[in-house]
Amino acid sequence: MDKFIVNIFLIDFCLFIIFHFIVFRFFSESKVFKGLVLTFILAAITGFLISLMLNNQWYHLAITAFTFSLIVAFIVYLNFAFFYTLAFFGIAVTSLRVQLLSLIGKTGSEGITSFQLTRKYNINNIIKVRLDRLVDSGVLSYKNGYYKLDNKFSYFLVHQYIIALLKRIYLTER
Amino acid sequence: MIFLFLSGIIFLITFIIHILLHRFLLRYKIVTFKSLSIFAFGFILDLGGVIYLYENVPINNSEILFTPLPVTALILYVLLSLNFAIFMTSIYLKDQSPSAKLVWLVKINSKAELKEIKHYFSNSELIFKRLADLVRVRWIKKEGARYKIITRGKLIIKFIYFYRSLLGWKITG
Repeated sequence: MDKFIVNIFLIDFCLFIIFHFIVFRFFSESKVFKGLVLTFILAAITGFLISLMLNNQWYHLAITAFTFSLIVAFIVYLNFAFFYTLAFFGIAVTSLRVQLLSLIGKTGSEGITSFQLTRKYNINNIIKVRLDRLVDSGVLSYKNGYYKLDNKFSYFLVHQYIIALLKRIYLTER
Repeated sequence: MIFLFLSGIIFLITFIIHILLHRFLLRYKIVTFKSLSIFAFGFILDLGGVIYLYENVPINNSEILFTPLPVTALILYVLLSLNFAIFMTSIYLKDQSPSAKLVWLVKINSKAELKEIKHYFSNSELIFKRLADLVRVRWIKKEGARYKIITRGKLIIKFIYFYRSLLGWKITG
């Protein structure tokens, strides 16, 4: 069963990497979250089907064991996708540090002062880009000049709760 | 299942030890990423536990509780540790994701205008702090009042451009 589970999540994750390069050719940068969700689901389903074709072990598994295998494989795949998204994709796609590095890099040996940098890249464009991305992804809505939270559940809220909890536990905030 | 429980329990124990270690170091005003290396010791412990279980628990593929899942259990521990480390970067860098903060602000205010939202951010928080981080990790250097990219930063940006070209995107940030 271990081999079966490992096959599923490794194939799922490899497909996640491949598919996200394809999916984002059709999704603009503002629809990052929808693109990620689509990639995740596509890779999960395709990977599962490929695993079934490649492994004949699953014929011998009882329904409960088969279901258990799928659940475990899904949890591990979710962890893989989460790690890749935050550690690589997020940094390459949305990171402020990378954007600053890019702007500084374009000036070459001449360099740039912080004043010149903030004229090109400041609160206005940083916030606007992110708000547009959140609206295009359906996390927020924009109506009559106001932004509202469209869904009660949002990954970002979960992220904030976890960070707030960790800050309390680690005594960085009381 | 028992293998997964083992990895889960060892991860929790390592997490608790990490909290205690961090609080201890905090008394001496030491805050360091290196404390996360405790999870490497946790992995060694997990590996030992998995090997012990594999050799001593009778293999019974029909009983989910005792089905041997050594590789899955070890990979799960590693992933939980890595994902936890990612969350801890916010703690160590004292950073907050602007997008997460935006969603949070809209939620607590139930609705918000752009000009209200901007009041909660500053160039100091969004830009100057990050510039200082880039200097500290030696991706850029500061010469007088000017920031210049250096070798490590050039390599990073080349990789990022390549990665984004595969996605068909330009850099926006």
